[in-house]
Amino acid sequence: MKISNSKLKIFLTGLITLTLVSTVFFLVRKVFEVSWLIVAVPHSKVGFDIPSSYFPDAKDFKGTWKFDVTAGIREDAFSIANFDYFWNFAHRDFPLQIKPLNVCGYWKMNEEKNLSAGHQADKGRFAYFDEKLGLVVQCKPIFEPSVSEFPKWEKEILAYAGPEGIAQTPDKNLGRFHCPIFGALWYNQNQVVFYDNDLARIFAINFEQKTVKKSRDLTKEGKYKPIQVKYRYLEKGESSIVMSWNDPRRSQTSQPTSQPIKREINKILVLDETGRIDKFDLNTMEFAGQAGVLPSAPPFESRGHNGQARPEELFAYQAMQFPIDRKNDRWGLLVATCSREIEGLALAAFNDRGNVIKTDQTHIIPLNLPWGSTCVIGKYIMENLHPPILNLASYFTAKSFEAVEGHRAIFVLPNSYVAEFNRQDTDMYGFSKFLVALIIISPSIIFAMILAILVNRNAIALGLSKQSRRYWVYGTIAFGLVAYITWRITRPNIVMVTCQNCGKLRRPDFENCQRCGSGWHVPELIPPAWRVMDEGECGSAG
Amino acid sequence: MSDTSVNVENLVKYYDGRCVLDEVSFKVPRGCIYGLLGRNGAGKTTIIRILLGLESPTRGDTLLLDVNSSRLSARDRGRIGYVAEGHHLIQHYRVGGFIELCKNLSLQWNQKFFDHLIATFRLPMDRRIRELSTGMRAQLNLALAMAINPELLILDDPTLGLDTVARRQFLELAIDVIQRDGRTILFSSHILSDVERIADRIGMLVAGKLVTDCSLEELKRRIKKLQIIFPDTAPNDLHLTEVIRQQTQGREMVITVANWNQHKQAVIDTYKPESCTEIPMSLEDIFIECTNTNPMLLTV
Amino acid sequence: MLTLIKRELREFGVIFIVAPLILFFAFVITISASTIIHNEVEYNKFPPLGLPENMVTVFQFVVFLLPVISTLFGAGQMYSDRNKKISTFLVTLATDRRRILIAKLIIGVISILASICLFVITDAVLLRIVPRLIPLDTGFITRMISLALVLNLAGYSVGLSMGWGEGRLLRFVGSLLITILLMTIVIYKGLSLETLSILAILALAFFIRTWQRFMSTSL
Repeated sequence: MKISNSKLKIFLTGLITLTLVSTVFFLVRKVFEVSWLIVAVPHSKVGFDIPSSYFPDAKDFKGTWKFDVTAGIREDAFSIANFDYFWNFAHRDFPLQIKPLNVCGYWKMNEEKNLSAGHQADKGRFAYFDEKLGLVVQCKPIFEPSVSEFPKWEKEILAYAGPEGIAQTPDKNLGRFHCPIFGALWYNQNQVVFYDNDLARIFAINFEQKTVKKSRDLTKEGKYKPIQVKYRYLEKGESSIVMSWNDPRRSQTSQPTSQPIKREINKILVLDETGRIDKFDLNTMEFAGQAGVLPSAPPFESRGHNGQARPEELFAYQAMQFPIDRKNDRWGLLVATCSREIEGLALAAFNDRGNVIKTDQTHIIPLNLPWGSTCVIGKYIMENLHPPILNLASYFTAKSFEAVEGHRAIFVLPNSYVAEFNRQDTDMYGFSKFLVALIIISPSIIFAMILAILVNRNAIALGLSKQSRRYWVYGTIAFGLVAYITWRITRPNIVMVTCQNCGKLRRPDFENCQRCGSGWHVPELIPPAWRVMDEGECGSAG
Repeated sequence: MSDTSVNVENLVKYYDGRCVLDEVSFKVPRGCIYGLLGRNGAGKTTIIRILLGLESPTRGDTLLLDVNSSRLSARDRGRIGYVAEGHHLIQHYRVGGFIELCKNLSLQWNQKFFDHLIATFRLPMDRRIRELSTGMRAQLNLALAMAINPELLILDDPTLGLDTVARRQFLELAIDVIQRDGRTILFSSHILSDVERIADRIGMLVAGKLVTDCSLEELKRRIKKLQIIFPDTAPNDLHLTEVIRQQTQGREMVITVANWNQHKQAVIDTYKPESCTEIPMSLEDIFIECTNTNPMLLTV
Repeated sequence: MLTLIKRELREFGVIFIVAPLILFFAFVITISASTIIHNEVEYNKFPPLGLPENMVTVFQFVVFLLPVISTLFGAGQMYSDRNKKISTFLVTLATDRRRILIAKLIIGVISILASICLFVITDAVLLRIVPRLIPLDTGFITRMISLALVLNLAGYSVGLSMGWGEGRLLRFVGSLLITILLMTIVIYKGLSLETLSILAILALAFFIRTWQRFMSTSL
C-alpha cells in the first residue's frame, strides 16, 4: 500500500504550497500596494512653467504668459500593472473597440510578436504585417451587403511591401521583414514607419509613392537599439501618467490640453533602450539629433546615466513633442516618468536640441502620508513572510526584471524593499551592501529559523533520522513558512504513545523507541498469560 | 504456491495512539475454515481490512494467497470473495445494476450458482440496495461473494442480521464452498454455534493478542473446566499454571485451565479432592471463559 | 476498466454533461448575439480586423466558469466515493485502486476536453460568421485554448485532491478557493507562457498527489 514516494510527496506538496502561499501573499501585498497608490496619487503631482521669454515668438502674443506643464499618476495605474489578462485582449483589434477610438490612424501593438494592424478610415484602407510572408500588406476593405445572407467584409489587396520595395504580388524579391516594431502610421501620407529588430533598420513605407525607405544598419553605430518608434508621442504603461500643458499661444483660454497644434512633419521619435530619445528624419532616413532622455524618477534620480532612466526600469513614461515656435520649425519635448515602485515622478522639458530646459520631480515618502506607514509596514511584513531564499533571489535579480513585469511576479519579488535597496545607488558595495540587505530581510530569516527549530523538535519527536532532520532544517530556513506548512502536511501522521521505558512519546510504527531504543510493552493491554496454540507452539506467554 | 492462504506475521495496529493488535501472527492453511473470534473491538475486522489492503498496518506483514496485502492486483482480488461487516454495498444502486457491476468486475462468474442463490434468497432485483433489509443485503453480499468461485472467502460477521433459516442456508453454502477443492474460508462471527458447526480452526483475540490458534477439537481438548469438591474448604490457590478462570465457594472450586494435561491433573490430585468432574464446554462456553474482561481469580 | 468507466459515467453522468451543456447554451447565445451584431448598421461601417469580441466572451466562460464546474466535478467524484464507501467496496472485487482512479480521471478529463472542443468549435463558428480581414494570430488562439485546457485540468485536479476527506463544505469551498486563486494567476499574469507553465505544473502536482493519496489511504 505504501506506493507513495515520500520524497516526491514532499516535493509536490512543497511546490503546491509555495505557489498557493505565494499567490495569497501576492494578493495581500497588492491590497497594501493599491491602498498605497490611493493614498499617494493626490500627492503625485509635478509641474513647472516655462516663461514666455523662452519662446522666440512670445512677442506675437499679448500680455505676459507662461507655458504650464503638469504631470500626475492615474489612480488606475495599478490595474494596468496587475491585470495582464485584460491587456492581452486590449492589444488585439476588436471591431467594437476600434469604433470608440474613431479609427483614424489606429495602430495597436502586439507586445510579444509585434504583429500589428492599422486602419485608415478616411481612405478606406488598412495595412497589416503578414507574419508568414514577412511583408506589410495594404488592403482595401470591401463591404458586400447581402439581403439573403449575412453581409460580408472582403478585402482587396492593393500592395505588398518588403524591405526591398513594393509590389502587387508577394514577390520574393521584396525580401522579408523579420521582427518589426510597429509604432507609427502616417495615414495622411499612406506611410508606415517601423523598426525591424533583426534587420536593425528603420523602414518607412509609403504606399502612395510606392517607396520603401530604410535607414542604415543601426547596429553598426554602436549599441543603438530602438525599442519604440513613434510619431510625436512615446508611451509606456497605457496612460498611467497624465501629462498636460497649457499653451496660451493656442487660445486665449487657459484650459490644459494635451494636443499639439501641428505635427513636426517628417520626423519621428525613436526611443533607445538606454532611455535616450532621438529624432529621426524620414526624408533623409537619418537621425536628426537628440530630442531628450527619460529622466530618472525618485528615489533613484541620482542613478544611471546622468539622471537618465532605462525604459525597462520605469513603471511608465510619456514623451510628447511641443512647439517652441508657431511656425513648426522648432519642437521641444516634454517627458514624464514614473518610478518602478510608483513612489516618484519626474518631469523634464527639452529644447529642440535635446537640452534640458526645466525639470521637476517628486518623491512620495510613504511614511509622511496618512495611512502610508500602515501600507509600508503591511507590505514589509508580507515580504518577510515570503521564503527567505526568494527574498535573497529578489535582491540578486533586482535589476533584471522589467518594471511592470515586476508588479506581476509571484515568486521572486523585484519590487520588494530588499530589491529596491539593491537598485539604489549607495556608497556601499559588495559584501557590505549584502549585509544591509540581510538586515532588511532579517525578520524573514529570524522567522524561518524559529520555524526550523519547531520543525526540528517535532522531527526529533517523530524519530526522523539525523540526515532527514538536517534537510528539513535547511529547507525551513530557506523556504520559511512554506516549508513549515509542507512539514505539517507531509510529516508522519502518527499519534504517539508513551514509552514505558523512558516515559517520552514514541512512534508505534517503529520497532524500537526512537528515543531510548527500548522494545515494546503495551501497558493498556493486559493479555492473559496462557496460550492455546498448535502442538509445539503451546505454552504461557511472557 | 504455498500451502497457506492467509499469513499474518507480527501484525501491530494502533488507532489514535491506542493499540488494537499487538504482535498477532497466524496462518490459515489452504482448504481450511478458520474462525476468528473476539469480543467487540478486539480487532477482527481490522485484521480482515488489513488483509484486504483496505488499511495499512502499523507494523508487521500480511499475505493473502502468497501476495502481500498492499500489492494485491486485480487478478489476485478476483480470487478472493469478501463479505463485509454491515454489508456496506453501494447503497444507491438497484440490485440488478449492482449485480451487473459485480459480474463485470469478476474474473469468473458462476451464473447458475448465483441464480440458485438469488432464487433461494428471493431478492428483488428492481429495488435499491438501501431499500433492502439488513438480512437481504447480507444475502446479496454473500451471493455475490460466492458467485465468483473464490479461492479464499473472507467473511466478516456474515450472518449478522440473518434469520435462523437464512443462517442455516448460509452455513450450508459455506460448507458447499469448502467442499470444492482448495477453497479456504476465513470468517469472524459472534454466533459461535455457527462457528462451531463449520470451523476447522479457531483463532481467538484477547487484549490485542491471539491467545488461541488451533483446531476446534484441539481447543476443546486442551481447555478444561473442572468442578472440584474438597473435603474441607477449598484452597485459595492450587498452584496451577495457565488458569483461565477460578471460582471458589466453600468446598467447591470451579476452575478453567488452558493446555490441560496429566501434570496438571497430578497437581490437583495432591490436594486429594473428594471429586473432580469435568464440565463439558461448547465453543461459546470456551469463548466466554477466555474472553472475560477480568480474568482474575474469583472467590465468593 | 470499461465497467469502471461506465460506473463513473452512471454516477456522474449529469455533471459530466452539465459543463459542456452550459457551455453549449452559452456559446449558442454568443453566436446568436454575433449574428445580431453582424446585421447592425454600425457594425457594417467598420471592417473586422482582430479577434471577434464574442470570442473573448466565450473565453471568459471557459476561463472563469468552467473551472468552477471542473473543480466541483473532481471534488464531487472523490467526496462521493469516500462518503458512500464506493472504492471500499469496488476494491474487494477483481479490480484495484489504480484502475478505479484511472476510470475517474478518464471521465473527468473527457468532460473537460469536450467542453474545450465546444469552445474551439464556437470560435471556429464565430470566425466563420465574422470573417477576419487580417490573418489570425494563431499563436494567441493556441495559447487561449491551451490555457483554458490547463486551467480546467488544474481546477479538476484541485477538486480531486481536496475532495477526499470529511466535511462537505470544507472540501468543496476549500477546493473552490484554491481554484479561484489559480484564476487570479491568469488575471494578473495574463495568457503568457509563464501562466501556462505554472498552471500545468500545479495541475500535474495535484494529480500526482491525488494518485499517491488514493493509492495509500485507508478505504
